[in-house]
Amino acid sequence: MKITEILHPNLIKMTLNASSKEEVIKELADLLEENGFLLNKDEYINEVFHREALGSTGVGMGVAIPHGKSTAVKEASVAFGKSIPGVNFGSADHSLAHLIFLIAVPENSDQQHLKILATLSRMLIHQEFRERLFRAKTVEEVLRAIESRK
Amino acid sequence: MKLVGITACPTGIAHTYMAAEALEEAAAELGYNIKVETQGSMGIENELTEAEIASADAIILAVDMSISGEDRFWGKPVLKCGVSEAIKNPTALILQAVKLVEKEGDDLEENFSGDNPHEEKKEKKRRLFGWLNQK
Repeated sequence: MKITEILHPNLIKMTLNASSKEEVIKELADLLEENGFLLNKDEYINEVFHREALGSTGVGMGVAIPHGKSTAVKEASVAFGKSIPGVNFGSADHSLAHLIFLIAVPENSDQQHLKILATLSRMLIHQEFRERLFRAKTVEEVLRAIESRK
Repeated sequence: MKLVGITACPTGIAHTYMAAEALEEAAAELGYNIKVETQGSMGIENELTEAEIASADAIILAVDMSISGEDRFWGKPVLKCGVSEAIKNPTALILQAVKLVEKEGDDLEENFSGDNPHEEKKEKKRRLFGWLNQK
């Protein structure tokens, strides 16, 4: 299974319009819904907000990975959006999030999907990978950065 | 210096694995050995064996929830923190664990009384700081 089956090209937004954490989550959730990955968008968004309330998923280093595991999700997927000005995710290092990955996981997810999400999470620790994503100007460049890292 | 650790977060989707990767990378940069068990959405992976725990100098638990098998580390120096701490400051965390090991060594040294304290002390120092020379 390829990572692009989870991070579909249609789920990548090179320039996010939203400027707040809540709006960014909604904007990326719209992409998931439009592409048929959600059964109930509102329910899924509530789950993501619930997870944020437990502790911000703004992990610092300019990255945020809001996520929700819910019966409202049809299929495991990731939407990715870039924000050049940055979005305040309330991360402890006070950095703004420029690279935002919204992860959706169904209640009973396929192990292979979870493995890909774990791999993607591990990739984000590496600075040169984050820089490549930040510099990417097209969807293809984003996908290439991810493929080359595997 | 041998370290082992566990990472775990409530949903077990992202932070568990980011923290494991961060600890592994920071340890490698510092020249230390680490094995990190993940307790995430895929269950327990990279599980620590009894032998690995026995030979570990310190344990790092970067967890936001109760984990399975915490009793395995009884009697070992354990450093416990939140999972995000391991993502943000992995290097600081590993150095803190190393400090914990050194402190344990000092305590042992204070309690020590032998026929030849000088030699014994040297031997203890050699064992404690041997890993420094191995680098």
